[in-house]
Amino acid sequence: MRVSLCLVLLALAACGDPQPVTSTPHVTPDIGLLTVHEARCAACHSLGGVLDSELRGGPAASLVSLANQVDVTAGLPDLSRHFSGFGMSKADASDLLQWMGSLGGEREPRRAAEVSGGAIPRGGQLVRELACGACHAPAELELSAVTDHAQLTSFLVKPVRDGAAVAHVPLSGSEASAVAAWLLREQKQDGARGVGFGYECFELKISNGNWPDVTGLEVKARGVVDKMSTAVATRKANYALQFAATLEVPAAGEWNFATRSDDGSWLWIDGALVVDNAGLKPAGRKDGSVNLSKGAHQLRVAYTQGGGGAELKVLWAGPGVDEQELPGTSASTSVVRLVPKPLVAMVPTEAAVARGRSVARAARCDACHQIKEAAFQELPAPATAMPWATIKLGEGTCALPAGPAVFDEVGTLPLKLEVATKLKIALKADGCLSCHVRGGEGGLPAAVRKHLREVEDIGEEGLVPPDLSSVGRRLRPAWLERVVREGHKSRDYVVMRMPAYGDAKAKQYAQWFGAVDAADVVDEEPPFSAEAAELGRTLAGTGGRNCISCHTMSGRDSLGPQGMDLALQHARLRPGWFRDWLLNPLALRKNTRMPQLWLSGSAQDTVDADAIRTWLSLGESAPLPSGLLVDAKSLVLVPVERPILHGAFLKGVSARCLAVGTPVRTHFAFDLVKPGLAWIWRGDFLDATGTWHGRAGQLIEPLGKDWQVVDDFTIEGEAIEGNATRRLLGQRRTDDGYPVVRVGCGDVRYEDEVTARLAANGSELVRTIRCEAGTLVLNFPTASSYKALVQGKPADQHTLTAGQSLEVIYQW
Amino acid sequence: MVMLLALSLLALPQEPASPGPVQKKPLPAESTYVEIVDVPLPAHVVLEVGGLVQQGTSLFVATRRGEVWRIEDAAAEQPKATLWAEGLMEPLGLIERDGWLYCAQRGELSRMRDASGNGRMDELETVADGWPISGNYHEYCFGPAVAGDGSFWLTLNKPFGGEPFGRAPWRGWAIRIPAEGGSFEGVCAGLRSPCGIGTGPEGLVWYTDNQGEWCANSKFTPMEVGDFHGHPWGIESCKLPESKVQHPGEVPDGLRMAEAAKTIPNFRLPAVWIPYDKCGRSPGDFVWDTDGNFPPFKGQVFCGDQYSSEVFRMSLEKVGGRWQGACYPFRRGLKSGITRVLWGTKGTMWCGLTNRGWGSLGGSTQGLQRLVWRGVTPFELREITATKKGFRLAFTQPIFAGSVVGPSIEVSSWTYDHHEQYGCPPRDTRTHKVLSAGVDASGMHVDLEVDDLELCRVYEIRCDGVLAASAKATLLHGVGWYTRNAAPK
Repeated sequence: MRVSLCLVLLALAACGDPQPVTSTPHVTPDIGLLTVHEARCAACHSLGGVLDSELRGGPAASLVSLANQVDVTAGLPDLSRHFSGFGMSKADASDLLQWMGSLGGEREPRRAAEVSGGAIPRGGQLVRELACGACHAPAELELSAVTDHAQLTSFLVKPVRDGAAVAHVPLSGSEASAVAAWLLREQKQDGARGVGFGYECFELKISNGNWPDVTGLEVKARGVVDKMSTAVATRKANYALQFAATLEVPAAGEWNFATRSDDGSWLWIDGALVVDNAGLKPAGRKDGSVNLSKGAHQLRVAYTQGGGGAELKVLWAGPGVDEQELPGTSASTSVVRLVPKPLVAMVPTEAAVARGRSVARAARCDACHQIKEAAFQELPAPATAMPWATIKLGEGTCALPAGPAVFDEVGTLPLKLEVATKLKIALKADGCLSCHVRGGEGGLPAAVRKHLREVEDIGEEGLVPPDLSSVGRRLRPAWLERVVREGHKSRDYVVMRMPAYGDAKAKQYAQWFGAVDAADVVDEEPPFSAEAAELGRTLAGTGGRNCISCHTMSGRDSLGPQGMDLALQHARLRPGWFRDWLLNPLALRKNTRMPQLWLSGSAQDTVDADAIRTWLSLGESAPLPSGLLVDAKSLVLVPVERPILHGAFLKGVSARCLAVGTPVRTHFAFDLVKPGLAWIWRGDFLDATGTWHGRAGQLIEPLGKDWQVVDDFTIEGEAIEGNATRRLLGQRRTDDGYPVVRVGCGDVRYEDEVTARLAANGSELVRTIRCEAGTLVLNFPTASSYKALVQGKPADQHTLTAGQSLEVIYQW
Repeated sequence: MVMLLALSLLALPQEPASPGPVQKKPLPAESTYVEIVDVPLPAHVVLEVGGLVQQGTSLFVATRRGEVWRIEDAAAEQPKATLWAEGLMEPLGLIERDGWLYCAQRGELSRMRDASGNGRMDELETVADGWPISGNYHEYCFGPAVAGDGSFWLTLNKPFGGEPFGRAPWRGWAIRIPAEGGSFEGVCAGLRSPCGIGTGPEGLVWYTDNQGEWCANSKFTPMEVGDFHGHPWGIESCKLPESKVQHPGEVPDGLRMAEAAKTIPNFRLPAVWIPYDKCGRSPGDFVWDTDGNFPPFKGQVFCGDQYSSEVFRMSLEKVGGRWQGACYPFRRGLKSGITRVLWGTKGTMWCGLTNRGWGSLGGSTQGLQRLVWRGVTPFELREITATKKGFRLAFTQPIFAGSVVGPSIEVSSWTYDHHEQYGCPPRDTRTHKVLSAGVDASGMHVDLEVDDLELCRVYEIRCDGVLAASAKATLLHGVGWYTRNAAPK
């Protein structure tokens, strides 16, 4: 049986230790209700009406799992502080624990672990930067007495309580290992210092030149090597490597570090980036210098490999050291042993167990905790709990402090909770307000906040999670749901992470925020027109209002701070808020860095804001604004002003193809062996690495989303061999740079032209087939994943004679 | 008549107190005679050169990225590059004919033009196609070269590695397309990696090949219909109706070159073996200097090397009805592998560069450079020709007869095996006695009588000790490699 022992503290906290209610600064009835909720009063005392269920809360931890964590050596939890144990004698409390001990199953023994010496400081840094202290008291962040490294690491990656996943801040395997090491820092015993560089290998699709988010990824391989290279990779393409070691610098002075890599690499010394050799690129060198003192420094090197050639070399030179590959002898991966105390279980006496069982029955433990023990169920049920109205707060066994700090009027609970109240209670109970502010309540304690790290110099907005005031008016419900369900984070520049709360909570919050914040809001999307979309694109670019000076777009860097990706904003923000935000951001958020760009107050301002909204309605297939930085060295092809034509081997099509990327970000590819339309897709075009890098000759696949393989028409009478086969006659190029493919088939000659245009709900392709000679009979198969429309109806059989043409619209 | 001032090499027992007949002077530098000029271009103009055409002041550059750039005033300090065409499949050749630019894409011979005059290619016609592509990177298609009869010739590389769309015929072939376009014929088989393809003054199409399996050493050779050049990869295509080559049967592995020439049907020995690592490694494109751009070498062939980033030269002569000749160093030090060469204005040569996929000497991966003749004639071994009993060496300047003594001329030779192994080191290497070395009356030639001559061998002739009559200058390069397939009667 695998049990995560750090649950002891978390679980006991969740099941109702008295919080220091008196210190709460905001004394309102809602907080009173929250206390009732947290204390689970309704588990025993009927509050009447729907309140019993609404204030009862979810199931508490099972006593079996709690019992499994009782460790005699670690000292026993003081149950006399537990609500339902309030007033319980110490002897009763001890018997109760003995009985609980008898419920536990066989336990996983605690094992010692070895981690790299950098793990503990790195874990501590993560705990501080991720603001773990916002929810966890300092005592909860020191778990040396209760668990071991392996069990804690797996709990941190995927916390499960009583078989159900728990909302948690997402951590990668290596981060969880580091955080666990820090949480168990008291178990540290110095181990051997290994010589060399510790490494970890992750497998993931590398689609751009940035260091990827390896959060939550499985570590495919780890170990210690004496040379940093790609030799430790677990496969040939699409992986990331991370090396770490303590570097022993032999002399003080200026040290030059260099990486030579294909594709990207980065080198940090003591947390500061020294070499930035980013990119999906052929082998190339980048250097960086740093002044270092003699002695130990923390070294970290990261490396990514997309496809094609792979190379990593790390060089250094400095006082007394000629340039050379950084030798493993200069680095140590100190190994720290984390040795837990062995778990010593209680050996309960039968008599104590029997007494404890009776104590539990009388204390109604089963009102909150599931208890399956047959002997427990056979004990007579205790008398009905006191009715709510007769309870005197703070008297008898009641742990709730008396007085107006909790209720204005004890006993006059509302019969039904308002949504706003439920929302407030939930936000507090789920810990949302530990980090976020809403309506002036909540937020990070100063002691936690001072450790946050800034990534972009954009002030408050770049440091703390967003203010949730009016969030229901701001975010579209589906987006809100996504954020709560998956812990999705739109602000890459905030280091802190959003926990994932699962589907039920996501739906609940989306509904409640909408009801509380936006009940009276009528949002309407501006009507789509290609002209408006084009105006929006122009306004966003450097020739317009220059949104891209601070905002990324479809994953491409902005010109300045890397603000939120514009391509997400249509799906994210409600239309009314979007317009208000563009036109008057300071009215919606004090101290925002979003500038007020429209000042005229004329009707054109609204037209502009709506045009940007219309442009962004195309999402990732929205045409890119002008001025956006396109990395000239990257082989990812980005059409901005004109189409890009790329002759390539296309996977599953043929070795003679023409892919066409359009500024409308709706792309297509022709097969030129049997000329016809092969693929259509939107978003990013393609990565030419397979055609242009190294020996090349790789089969190309699109980069973008919603890729469709076209099942193209057949021509009546065409053959597989001989004169009646379809053959390429050549191409024309339109003034706009689009190709027109010229095809012959027996006596028939025709032109096949495809262009892209903006349309509501994403752009579409317009295909024009012009018959130049003979009679062309086209049979279109029934399309499934996309629509091929002729005059609004699915294309089927169409006959063209010389001079006639056919227009087919592709939508998907 | 040549006056022989015969000096027996053996009759040199006692020279005067001088340390030797050869007084070493500071080595002359290639840069004294030929300047390398870079064509500065912005970073977004990536010229992995596959083809070059000069049209007035415009230079059209086809690139391996499937683009054609038009460079205005490429020889000026600030050339202007505009993208003329894109979306081609690795065009590795470019020529102009009848107002069209012709290029070989991987799967077709195409011709292009800018009919609207807006500065962009807008018409692209498929002149011929039908040779499949397996999807292997190495299935390059080079050309076209236009033969004397107006037909277009292309050379097709053989693949190395995966063939995702299935084995393709005609790989390792030269194919011919009639002047008016249409279907192709397979005219020569047995090619390996024939990057250089061009037409000689007589209208014959020549090619260079790169050392590797079934190609013992890099070579330069004319292509005549029906030739088999040695690589068996694509010989099954000999059975297809479009083939003009008789199936050579199973190609024996490991024959000495003279034996291979005798026993393999239609096996064609190269006109010039270009000794690996002595004269480059991987020859690319070549041009004939019919106009005397580099005046002392008028009539010779200049060839770029894709690995050593040098231009070397070759001289040819017809012996026994077949072409043969020699190669010589010329100019090293370009910044990347040379795939394409083209004459520019008088005395200049464009060198189109790329080393992607194989690497090269020089610090760059791509680009465009120019060789500029400085107008000074270097003292060089201009040409080696075969004589009945040896060789005649021609120099660019009168020589100091007194320097043609002792070990100042050394002759060695070797041959190769025709085998599947990658390349072949020199086999049966011999050092030859120079029986006599005579300077003619003009002082421009030395006739060598050489012992132990045999055919189908490469002769290395080193004459570092030969000095010019004027100022006793030393040779810029004192070496040449002559391929002696036949001897004059």
